Amino acid sequence: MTRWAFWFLISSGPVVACEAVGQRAASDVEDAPEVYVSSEVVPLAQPFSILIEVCNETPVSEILVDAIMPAHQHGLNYTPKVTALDEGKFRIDDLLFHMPGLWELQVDVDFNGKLVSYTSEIALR
Amino acid sequence: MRLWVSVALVVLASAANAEVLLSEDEIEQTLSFGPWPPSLQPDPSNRVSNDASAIALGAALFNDPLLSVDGAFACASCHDPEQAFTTTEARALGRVLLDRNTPSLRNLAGLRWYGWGGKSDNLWAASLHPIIADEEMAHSKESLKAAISDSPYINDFEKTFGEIQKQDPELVLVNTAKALSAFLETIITEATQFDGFRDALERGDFVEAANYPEAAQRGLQLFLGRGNCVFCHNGPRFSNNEFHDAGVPYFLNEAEVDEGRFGGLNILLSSEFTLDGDWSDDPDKQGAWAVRGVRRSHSDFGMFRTPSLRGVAETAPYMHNGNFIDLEAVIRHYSEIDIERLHADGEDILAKLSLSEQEIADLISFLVTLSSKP
Repeated sequence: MTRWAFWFLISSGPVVACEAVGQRAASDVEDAPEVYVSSEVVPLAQPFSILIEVCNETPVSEILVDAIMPAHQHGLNYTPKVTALDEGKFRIDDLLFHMPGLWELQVDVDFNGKLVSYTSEIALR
Repeated sequence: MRLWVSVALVVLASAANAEVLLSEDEIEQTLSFGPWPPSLQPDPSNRVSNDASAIALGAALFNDPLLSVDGAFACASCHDPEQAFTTTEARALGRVLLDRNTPSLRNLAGLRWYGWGGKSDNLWAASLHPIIADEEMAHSKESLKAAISDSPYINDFEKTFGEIQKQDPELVLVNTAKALSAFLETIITEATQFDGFRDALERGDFVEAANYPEAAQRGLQLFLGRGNCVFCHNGPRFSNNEFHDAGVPYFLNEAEVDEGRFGGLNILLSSEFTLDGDWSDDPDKQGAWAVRGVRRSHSDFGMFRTPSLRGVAETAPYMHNGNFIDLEAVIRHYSEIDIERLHADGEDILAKLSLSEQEIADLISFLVTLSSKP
């Protein structure tokens, strides 16, 4: 089982009651609502799932998820499957990181027409 | 007598000085290459997976020229069990000289993709293609059904799959491929000297681990470190089972190229024999996520599947077209690679390594320990 870790940048934003777990994703947008990413394990070269929770007063119905390896100039070989759960929660399946190293998870959230991008870095051994 | 005593003392001294060279970080990475053999489950897309009768039928068919339309050759003619289920030719010789090196058929159970271009997402589909390929065994579905019906295997076939005359020729083809697949799943390489080293590290038995040759340990360190081999050759099979541009020319001649993954995806995405198709026996369609979600890219052109390195010393020549005669040639390719040959917009993982002669020898020493028969 491969150990993994999330690193993230702290961004300030309005506090919304949210019982999210996991690591907070970073955004360059000031006062961006909080987004959290959680997963139990990220295996190497095998599919895995994560949960993403968007903490916002107005529920978000759709997000886009992708990932890249910045140092290797490539992304995912498979399109992740995004399933909306309830209250701003999303389950992401069919993610597959096929190389060890630093991956950047990218989450785009549409807040009433305003697209906000988030990232979380995942170091995979 | 004095000489023998001296030699014995030297050997003893060497043993006493033997040590594990790997750092804690390298040991942790090394553990990810095992355990071996892996725990495998029957293939849910193949209802005769792990079935003893089907395995025996598949083994018999594999070795019989019945599966070629004119009895010219058997699966085993190109995938020779005495030669690690491949042959020593650079490119496979079917009815014509084919474009690619014959891949070994060992350790195939449970892969995500099959073939150099990944045109199949399951082992029975990968077993089916050569039977009906014009340049290989050249059966039609109808001629295969007739051949099986008239063969000594008809009773075993019907015992496993039911009465053949009630089966559409396409079903006979799929069933034949599923019997072959059931057999191929059983071909698994043995634990190797490397596995002994890796398992000793896992147990914390550094005395035992220190018996692993230092040259191989240095090679492993290169494999994990400066060589960047582990980017693609990872996990217990030493392969991420994905597709990469290794800088090997893919021109077949002045006018043609081997399309690699690009061509493999063309076949895959138009195939009825995928894990997402009706020929799969799995109502839950496990594993079909890959064919449903696989992405296409123009950099797929000329990319090929990362081969496993288990037993690699037994499967020369190497690369998709058998371009390199031995392991030293492969390592020298990566050491001196011309990155101008790589896709300009492709992944950035290869760089000229400029390995020393000692480093090349060390990498070979490591790779040889991935075989039970070095």
